[in-house]
Amino acid sequence: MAGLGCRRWLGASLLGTALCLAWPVAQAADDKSPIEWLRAIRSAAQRANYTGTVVYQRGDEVRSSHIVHYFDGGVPRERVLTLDGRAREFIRRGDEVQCLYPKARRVVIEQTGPRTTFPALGQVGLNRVLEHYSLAVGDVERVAGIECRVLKLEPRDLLRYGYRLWVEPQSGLLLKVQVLGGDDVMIEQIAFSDVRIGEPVDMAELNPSWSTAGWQVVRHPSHQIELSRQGWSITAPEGFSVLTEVERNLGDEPGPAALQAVYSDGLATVSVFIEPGAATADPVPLQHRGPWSAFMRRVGDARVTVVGEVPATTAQSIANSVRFVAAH
Amino acid sequence: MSTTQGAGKPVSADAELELLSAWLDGELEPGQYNVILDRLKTDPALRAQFEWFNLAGDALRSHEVAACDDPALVGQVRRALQAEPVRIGPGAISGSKLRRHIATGVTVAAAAGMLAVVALPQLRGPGGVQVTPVTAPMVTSTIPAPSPALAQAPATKPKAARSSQLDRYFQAHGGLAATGVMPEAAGYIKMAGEQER
Repeated sequence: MAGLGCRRWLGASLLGTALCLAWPVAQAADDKSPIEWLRAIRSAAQRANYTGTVVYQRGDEVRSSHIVHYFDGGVPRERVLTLDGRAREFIRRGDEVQCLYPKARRVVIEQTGPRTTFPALGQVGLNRVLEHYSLAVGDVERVAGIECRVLKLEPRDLLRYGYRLWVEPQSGLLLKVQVLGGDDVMIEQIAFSDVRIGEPVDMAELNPSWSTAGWQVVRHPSHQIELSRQGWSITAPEGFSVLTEVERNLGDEPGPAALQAVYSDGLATVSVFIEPGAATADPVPLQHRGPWSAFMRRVGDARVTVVGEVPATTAQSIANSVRFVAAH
Repeated sequence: MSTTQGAGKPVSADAELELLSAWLDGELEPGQYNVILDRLKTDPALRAQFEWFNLAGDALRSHEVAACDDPALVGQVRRALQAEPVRIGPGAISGSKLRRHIATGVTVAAAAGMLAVVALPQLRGPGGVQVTPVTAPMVTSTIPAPSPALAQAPATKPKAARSSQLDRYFQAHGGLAATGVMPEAAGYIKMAGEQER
């Protein structure tokens, strides 16, 4: 009996010690400053391994995808497979993305160049993000069966949307994101319905679902350019800085290349497309798809199209700032 | 094609094409709209040219759509585009000159979708001719003056019509500008419901 009591006492002590040791770790994971939260999210987006099902919702539209993300310390690899609607798959290895369309038996290969990380935090200073958004730490809520800390990023002006983030505190991985419009109306949501974080990834899960032998292969190469050296001037709204500038073809149709500049404020991204010689007529069209606004105008005989996760007026102001000065 | 304008002033066929082309490019003054509209109501040849411009625009936007009407044109446009030099700045060539090029069976009328929206209601007057648009409307709404309420997202999601012309921009943007739950995949997840490339 004495031995049993001793073991009980010892077991209780060990459990207590373990809890004492674990508690500060868990608390530390959840007790972060705004900048630390952003840093954790950025790090997880780049380095975490995860597998799961993601549900994307935009208005009446709901779509599910299976995702596998693997990072070995060097080149990130990823596979996204649509689970409803027409089957298609996106396989990324580093800067190359293969888009597989089995019904058309077509593979579209894109060289994306330098990539952004969620949500472009990797290339925009985290402090700058907080200059344009205020971050509030909210309650704990479950997503995909996992307790997450809810963060709210409120825009400090009307040039951008707000965001609500559900972050798994230990890994920093985002499990759910909502894009919020005026009055906090949800415009778009993307969330895991199930996820496994940090578990070994079966490398076979990164392979295509289909043999692509005999499929049509379409390449969409792009190469880095400097728009200013080609005579173009774009004035982005405050807080937005350029992430990349490329020349690329926009589709598999043969034709002149388009120039694309991507801007970000750390959360929202905006692309400016310039297509010399492809001018469209006025009046200016505008289109929304969830949080994405598109705005088109003509500059000389060039068609300028701005697309981004920003309010329409922001897209319009960027489009209106595009000028052709002179090629250097 | 007739060689008289609505006002009775004789014009050449080339001048009419220039006028039509300028209208498609949005280069006409508002007062000149009626001239070309009257001509389209009464001149079958000019109307056929207008429809040809639309078809050429379709061929640029989607060879599948255009092939429904004229498979030969698709190949013609593709060959012409392949021969086009890549330009990096706005050049001296005007939309009208480009469209003159089309009139000989070569290239593009990318703005024809606008025409379907703006002009067709006027063409369908009581005594007017019926013109079937061959392009999908591109305009889904117009830009109101900026205001705090509008600068933020619409409180209710606008039921925007899809413009296939914009698909390629959304796709190209999604591929390079990933935002969302996943670092890189979010753009592709969002695009999963878009048209295939």
